[in-house]
Amino acid sequence: VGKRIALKDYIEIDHIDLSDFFSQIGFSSENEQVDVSGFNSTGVDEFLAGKNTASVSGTVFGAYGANETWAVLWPLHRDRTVFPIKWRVDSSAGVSATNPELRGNAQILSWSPGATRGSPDSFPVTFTPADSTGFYYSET
Amino acid sequence: VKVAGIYEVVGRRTYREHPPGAVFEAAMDARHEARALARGDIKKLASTTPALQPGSYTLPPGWTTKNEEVQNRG
Repeated sequence: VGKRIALKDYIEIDHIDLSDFFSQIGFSSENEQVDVSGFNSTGVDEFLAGKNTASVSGTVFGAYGANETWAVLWPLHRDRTVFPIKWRVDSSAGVSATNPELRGNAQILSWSPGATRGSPDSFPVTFTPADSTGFYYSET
Repeated sequence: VKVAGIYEVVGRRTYREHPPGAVFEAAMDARHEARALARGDIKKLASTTPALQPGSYTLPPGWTTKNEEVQNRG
């Protein structure tokens, strides 16, 4: 497995395959940098990893048909629903060590669709972890 | 709360990696099932009760002691 061009990503929201409505997706996981520096002869700072903040963000096309983005995503935000999400890089292959799948229970805390004349209707969406398990990679 | 059943994918999109038109059996969270039914992703063909049939499973060697086996028999 070498470098890849992102084309076949699989994205499942609340068990629905919405892959072809996403043009971009990304996962962010950040451990807070906590300064625990004491006085020392080198003057070097010392840090520990603190709280973890994670999210999955993407760009979705606005589509208003049955089983499409509005019908799936808007009720999840409106009703403050907790739902499962999945993302793996190759939809044509099963989950494995070389095709790990990011999973987790998420919620959509903000909703901000928009449109620009002459451009595809698309808008950002962010999935925030909804439980202490957070987002994790599965290889099986 | 978990529910189980036989489902058909009736929407235009893949549900739990089952393509449109597929029939599958699954146990799922009742809230997930309710949302999928309301959205028209799936249709429930029948409810099922997951159960282990006699002889369809074995316990790992040494997993139970004779004492536990006696207790489990009541």
